[in-house]
Amino acid sequence: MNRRFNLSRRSVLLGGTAALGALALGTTGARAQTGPVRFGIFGNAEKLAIRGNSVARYAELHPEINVVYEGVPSDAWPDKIAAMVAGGNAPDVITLSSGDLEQYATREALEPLDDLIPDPIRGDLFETAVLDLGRVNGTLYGLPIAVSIQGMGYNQSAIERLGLDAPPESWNYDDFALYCAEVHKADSSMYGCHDGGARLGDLGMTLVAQGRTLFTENELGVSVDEVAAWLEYWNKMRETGATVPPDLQAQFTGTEWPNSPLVRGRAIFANMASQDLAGGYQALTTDTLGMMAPPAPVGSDNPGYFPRPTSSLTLNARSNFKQEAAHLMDWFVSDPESASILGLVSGPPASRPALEAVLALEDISEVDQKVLRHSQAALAQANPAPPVHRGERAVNDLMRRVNENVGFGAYGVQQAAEEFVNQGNALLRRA
Amino acid sequence: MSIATYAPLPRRKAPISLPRIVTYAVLIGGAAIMIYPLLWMLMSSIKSDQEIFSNPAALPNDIDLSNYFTGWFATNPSFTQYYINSFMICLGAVIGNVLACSLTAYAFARLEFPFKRTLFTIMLLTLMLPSHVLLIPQYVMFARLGWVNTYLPLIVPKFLATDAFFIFLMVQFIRRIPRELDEAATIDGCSTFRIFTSIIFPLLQPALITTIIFTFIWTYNDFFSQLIYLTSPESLTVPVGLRTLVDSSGGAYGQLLAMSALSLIPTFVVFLIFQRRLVEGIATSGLKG
Amino acid sequence: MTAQAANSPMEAPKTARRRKRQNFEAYLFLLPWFGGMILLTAGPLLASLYLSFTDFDMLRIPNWVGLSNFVDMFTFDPRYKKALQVTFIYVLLGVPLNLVFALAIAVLLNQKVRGLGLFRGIYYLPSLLGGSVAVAVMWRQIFGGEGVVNQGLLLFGIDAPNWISTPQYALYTLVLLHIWQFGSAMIIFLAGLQQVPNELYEAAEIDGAGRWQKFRNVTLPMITPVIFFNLVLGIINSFQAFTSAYIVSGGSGGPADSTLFYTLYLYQEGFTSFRMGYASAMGWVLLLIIGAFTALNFWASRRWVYYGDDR
Repeated sequence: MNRRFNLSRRSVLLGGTAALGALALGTTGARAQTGPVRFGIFGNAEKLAIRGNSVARYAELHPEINVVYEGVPSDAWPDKIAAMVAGGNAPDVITLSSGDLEQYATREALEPLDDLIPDPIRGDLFETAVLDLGRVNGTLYGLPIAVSIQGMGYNQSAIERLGLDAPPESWNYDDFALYCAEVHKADSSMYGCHDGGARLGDLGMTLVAQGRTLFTENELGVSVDEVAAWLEYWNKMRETGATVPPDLQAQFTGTEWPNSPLVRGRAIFANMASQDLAGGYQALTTDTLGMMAPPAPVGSDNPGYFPRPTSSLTLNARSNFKQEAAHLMDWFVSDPESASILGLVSGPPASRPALEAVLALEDISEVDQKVLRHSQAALAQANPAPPVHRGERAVNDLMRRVNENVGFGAYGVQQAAEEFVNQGNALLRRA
Repeated sequence: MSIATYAPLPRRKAPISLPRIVTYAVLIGGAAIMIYPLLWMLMSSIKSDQEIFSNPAALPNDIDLSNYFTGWFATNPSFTQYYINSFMICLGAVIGNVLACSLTAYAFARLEFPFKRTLFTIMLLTLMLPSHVLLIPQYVMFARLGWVNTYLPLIVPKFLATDAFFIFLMVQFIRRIPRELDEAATIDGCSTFRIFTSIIFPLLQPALITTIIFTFIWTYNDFFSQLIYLTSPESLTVPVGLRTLVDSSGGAYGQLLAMSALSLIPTFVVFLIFQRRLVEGIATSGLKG
Repeated sequence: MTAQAANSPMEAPKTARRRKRQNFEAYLFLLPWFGGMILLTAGPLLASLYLSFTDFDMLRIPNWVGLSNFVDMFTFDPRYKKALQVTFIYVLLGVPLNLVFALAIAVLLNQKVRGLGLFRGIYYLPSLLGGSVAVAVMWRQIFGGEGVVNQGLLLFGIDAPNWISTPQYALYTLVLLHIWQFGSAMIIFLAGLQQVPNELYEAAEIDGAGRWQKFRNVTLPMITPVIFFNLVLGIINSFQAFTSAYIVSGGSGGPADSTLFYTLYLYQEGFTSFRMGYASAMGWVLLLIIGAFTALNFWASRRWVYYGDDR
């Protein structure tokens, strides 16, 4: 398969060389180029510009390759990439979030990368555990750009304004509930935390802390009673004002940060992916935010940290320039020069030399330093990453819905838990 | 119905009457509700991002126009290129819709041919399928034609009368034009095409104006197909550029609001220019020529 | 539907040739439309119909699954029923209210009023904004917990809920948003009002008709084709409403699925869960629903729409 592909690539190359050569003669006399090698990535204008700079630098260093950079607004990326892959018109390098990586890899849209290691992809620049984050069912499909790890963001200025003691270094869910209730007592318009009952990932962490996983094959790895206990915990939190009322929470589906209770100044704490503190939250408020450990399950001191790629570079299975594209991918994630251009735009880099290059940067902002400190510490005590399921996003939405139904009083906790497990299993089966 | 040449209704010099006061009161009160978002947008566009969200309803602390400058150049290429691209697409779409839809509508409204009802029903059916279902098949088709990353998927369909909304709209207007006019022209020996160009087309002006306004605005705002079919950065358009300024991971909200406010100007101007043709009596006075 | 049947009482043989010629001419006029239909529209339309009987996931070759998508929809899927319910409420409330406002303002703005263009522009403004992100941000500023509406209510001592994110009210704020964006229907009404011959008003004035009687007996009957158009298209478009719920709820259809529009759910299934076969099936069921409403509308229109082109 590979060999045949190479042949066809050569013929394309030859044809392309002839045509481009003719063009080049008339102009600068530059060498004929291979390509185009298209690099597709998402982000907002600011981040796209930074990422584009890295790709542009690569193109400068490799004039023999015609690199095309295609940056797309983030929230439109899922639709656009789906259409492009279906239409056979996708870029050679495709950036995917960890949920989408699973979707595309299991549907044979991506090229396995194992055969491209060590040349042109230098796999040994990653810790094995980190590179494994790009594996789906044992096959490597994605190169993690940056590693994400959970953290608890908090509003330091607000705590000071309320005159509360600083939260402890580490705590469990009971301590957390007490502290959050204190917040509401100190100021009745403030709440301790956003509503974690809606967050599947937080429930997942409590399982990981116990050495379990949320998904096992095509089943949920959690019982009705456990889900009920989780929902009940947050229901109690609502009763004591430790977490925000349901209508405040409902504005924040998890993706629109300006609506989050933390940014709106209504809650002190918010579980988040640690890089998001620097990548958005802090920019939306004048208060000073900090980052600390999320609570551990009662009776444990392990918050259940596990790493996830923020996003991964993947190789289009139908690319005509796989070697060149892989070479560009390797540059983007691992080269120190690329890393110093990118900085912490996606979070702490996944590959070792890239991380070192970023740590050596001198102009790291204060909030970036907080993220780096936290993620280094958290990664040191992280658990192995649980498997990703391609139905995860659908189950995540289900969790939010059942929690909303409990919050607004439509269901009892028991009924909500049963619905979650029944429908969740059905979603996993049909995903 | 007889068609007399027509001069504007003689207006009595109305003294300030009760109905007129009510009219103005209603209009001004309503306008306040309608214009609130624009005011809010303008107000927020001169605030910092923190101020927008920590204090949304308050007046800005000071006037800072930097969002307009930084926003304009925040993308690569800048909004200058996006506006040029958007206008080109809009122009093509407007011309296409006006020509192709009026031809089609005339046939459906006035001419007789076999399977007319069936074809008309099929035309309406194309309006009823959600676009998301058609997206992938359409994309695959345009990709096979080699049209992706050109403006062809955005313009050619308009010249092929795929916008059933406007066909149906024009059919409704043509049917209100008295048939005696066509018949008189037929007796005078006018060809069908002549009737279309010299009677129907001029009398269709209110519907054509509506088509121009809507096609321009809807094409200008059509984020989704422009996003899907355009790939190279130089070919992108205003709505795609706007969407780039902010994503879920944050971004520059002040710039977004500043650029959104600016982006309203072309549509507003187009609207103001063309709505003037929507004044009383235009349909009949058009007959004079 | 549009045209009355060819109904000349005396079909002379001479007319046969003319009819043939007219058929030919009609098809010439329809040439661009035929071209678009065959080249651009028919293919994707039929493809989506085929895909509705498959397990298409956008990336792999689809497998035929017969009717199972349709069976799933009506037996297994609890969110589908919710989406239908939400959409019907939206259509039944939003369409008539939107039209009433549009017509009322169009009539007001069809007079000689100082600053007419500006007034029209301001009333059209919300529709210019369309579905831009700015609308979502702004809508929350108005109907959110600390929004303008609640601050106003607080002056009267009313402590109101967060309208946008309370399941009982969220849908109605979207209905309001739809009403607020009545500009497009207003323009079409304005255009339709241009077709009312002034001599009819003059005649009515001579008969001593007041404002209301002129509106009731002249304006209203003369613009029935345009009212009909706005009604049919209003229903078609409202059944497919997507953007407002998408931007206001952040794509979720929440809180608790209270704004889960039909096409929003279709979109989630197709593009978030990669179940495009199922989404296609949903799309075709929606086409049948809208088609039924439209057919009913056309049937009823014979009783109240006046074209004036009958021979």
